Amino acid sequence: MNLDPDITQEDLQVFLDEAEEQLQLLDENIVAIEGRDDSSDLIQEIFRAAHTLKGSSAMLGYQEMTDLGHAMETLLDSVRKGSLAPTTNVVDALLHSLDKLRLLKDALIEPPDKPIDVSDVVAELNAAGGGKSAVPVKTIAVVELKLTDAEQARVTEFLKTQVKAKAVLVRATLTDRCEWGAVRWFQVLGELSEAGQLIASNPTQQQIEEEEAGTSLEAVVVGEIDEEELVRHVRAVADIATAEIEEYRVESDSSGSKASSTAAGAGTKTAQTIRVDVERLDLMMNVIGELVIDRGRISQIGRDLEAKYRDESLVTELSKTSAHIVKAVTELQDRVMEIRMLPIGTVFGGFPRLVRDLAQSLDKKVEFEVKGQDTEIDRTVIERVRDPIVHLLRNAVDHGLEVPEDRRKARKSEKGVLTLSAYHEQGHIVVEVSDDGKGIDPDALRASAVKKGFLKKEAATNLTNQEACELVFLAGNSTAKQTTDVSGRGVGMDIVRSNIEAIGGFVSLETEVGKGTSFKLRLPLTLATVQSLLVQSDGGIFAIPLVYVLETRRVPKDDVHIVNHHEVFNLRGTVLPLVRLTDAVGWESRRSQKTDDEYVVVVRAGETQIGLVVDSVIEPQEIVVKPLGNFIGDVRGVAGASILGDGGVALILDIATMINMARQKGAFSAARSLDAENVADDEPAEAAAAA
Amino acid sequence: MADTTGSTEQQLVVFDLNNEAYGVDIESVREIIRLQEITRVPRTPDFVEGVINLRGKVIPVVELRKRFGLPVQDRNSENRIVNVDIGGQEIGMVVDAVTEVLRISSDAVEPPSSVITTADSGYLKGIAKIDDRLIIMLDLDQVLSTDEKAALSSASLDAA
Repeated sequence: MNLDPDITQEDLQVFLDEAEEQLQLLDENIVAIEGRDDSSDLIQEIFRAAHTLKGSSAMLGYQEMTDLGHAMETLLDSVRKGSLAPTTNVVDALLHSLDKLRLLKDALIEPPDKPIDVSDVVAELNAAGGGKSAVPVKTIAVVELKLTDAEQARVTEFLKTQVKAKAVLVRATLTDRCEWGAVRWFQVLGELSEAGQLIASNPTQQQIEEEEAGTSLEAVVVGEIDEEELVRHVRAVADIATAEIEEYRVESDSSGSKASSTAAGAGTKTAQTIRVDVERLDLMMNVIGELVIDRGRISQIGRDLEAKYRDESLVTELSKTSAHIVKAVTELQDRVMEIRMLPIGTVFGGFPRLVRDLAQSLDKKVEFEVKGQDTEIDRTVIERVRDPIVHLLRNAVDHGLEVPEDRRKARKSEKGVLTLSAYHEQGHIVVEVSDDGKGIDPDALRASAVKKGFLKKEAATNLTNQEACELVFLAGNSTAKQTTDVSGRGVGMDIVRSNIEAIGGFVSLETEVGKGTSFKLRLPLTLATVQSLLVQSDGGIFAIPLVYVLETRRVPKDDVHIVNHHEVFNLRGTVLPLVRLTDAVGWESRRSQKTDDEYVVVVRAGETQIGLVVDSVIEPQEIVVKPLGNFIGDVRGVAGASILGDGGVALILDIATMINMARQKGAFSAARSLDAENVADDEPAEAAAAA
Repeated sequence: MADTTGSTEQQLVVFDLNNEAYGVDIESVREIIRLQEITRVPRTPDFVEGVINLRGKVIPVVELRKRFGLPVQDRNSENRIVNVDIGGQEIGMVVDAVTEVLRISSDAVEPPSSVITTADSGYLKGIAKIDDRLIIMLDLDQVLSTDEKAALSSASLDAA
């Protein structure tokens, strides 16, 4: 690998960023064209990505990547023109090239032990394309540039308004041995655009893109131009044989002609986007978090002042101002949140490939559908859902979907359908992975859990089917008959669950034997703030993230029963364990001294529900999560702290952990024994915790 | 922290605890605030009073009397929270009262071994003699040493 010695570290970074984008594009699109004949847009996009990679790697002097990009482009060109069908061979060759491109890109970051050989994939590409070789640079006679009236008008206008500006005509030619003419012309146009405004060029940028450029070029540029320096810059581009510059004179006074809106050349498009380091956005979000806290505080103080000095005009003034600040902060928060939002499709990119490769290796036929890629979600959440989704997809292909033969026997289409979809639901994002495979057999899970010693036999029998299916989330409880390198070792589902719960979401599943399985991940929109219900218990204020809250209700004392020392209550026919918040956080209990109703917040994690007894329910509020810090460390049942409008601190409850703690104490078996009117003396989660 | 070679000067924040004077290096003191409402945190050792909000940050607060095994007394208006920086983490310490800021010469400091030799004296950095008074100088890193921190995290595990 011999790079152009002039390449700076910055150039390299720009190249790497860009290359990554193009590689992702390829990743997303290549799989999609297989066996389809209506995918000309996609092919065009793939072609463009390969082309861009070829071009930018040539600028870097990265020969291996340029060669490979070129071979891909040649193959894609045939597909684009319809002379070659996107068969499995073609897609395979492209995918292998993509893998090689990734290796090449990584080699720039960390040089490998031995040079990367691209000749094998280039040969594969050529073979797939029917052995055609690279398209040579066309040679066209020396060009001459004629400006349109509109372009002339722009030059005139420019010269009129910018006193120091001048218009110049640049002519350049390439050496005969130049291989990548288009790339060099791009570089030349880049130099020209940097010096001033590019009015027009022959060949145009579009012609260059389509490889219709010859060995000479003319262009008109306006601006405050240092002619000598510009010529020097153009000559510095590799493979440029000659470069000249002269002042450009507008041929006729076109001030009278009306400017038509014909698109003028290229290179004049202004930047619409900027790249920002995500760390800066994170910092900004932190500051806004502070503002959100103060927002709460300011409106509280405003209310208090108003109550105290109702008729004071200054107070009214202050209230108005603070109301506006509140509004502005909310707006600012929303805007920054928007900036941090990414379509969830950015992590879906590699999935079609993953599913295809996996299905191929397992001899399964899978139709993979992706829906709702545009659903937007905070980037911090995105980073943390990728692995769980990958795991669910692998599981679905490996265990969910059957081999074609079994599917035929089950009278299903040979091709299994695997769907990944994302959508909004009540202020959360739901990501769903569903398959139409064989479903999860609750009895198999019961048996497996008993065999592996997680559960006693009677306890397993006592589980409802839904509860039995949730045993898949137990560490080590895999029912796969064979351990493959894909899955089946029983690690993973528990990690999926804990990863999702760690970001304040939860996992649930629906399954039917023979019909298929669907896993749902409910995710928060962002990790920066949490919509929470504030409650009071024993003088302290606690926040319960709304994602866990089902409802709040007053439960009459008479509806609370005690079974095996556990309090339970009846919620519309289901008996739920009742947990007193003071007990749950480990403070001394003041049980059952009240005679009137209990305030109960019904919370859930997954499909499991409990009633949380509190002294009072305050209100739902958007809170900012603050860590408790290293000194205090992790506290079981507490997810963090938050600062309230009155300046006090509320602890944020970790409901998933609290429910687990209730389980370990046997609260659920108590509830169930009343529910089913038979006594179960064991509990799945007890066993899970012991394991 | 403190320079013990030659006769250099050092500034101490001096506070009262059970009628004795303690001093900490002013470098590690971020600020001194009045007592405010402290939010209890479950499953922490008893000397951890809880957390407070200090200008948007959540900071743990330790009751020094409990940490040193001294009798606990009712809070009064003299009580202060001394907010210190221990290895990058801000921690508030509840003390009986903050009395003064003193400039002392390192000559005035004697190693603790010559005065006290108890097992729990690890957090004593020295004894400063100013006129006829004795000021116990604390080594903050030791007051909340890594052992203590380990105890903290295991305490939260044990409670599970």
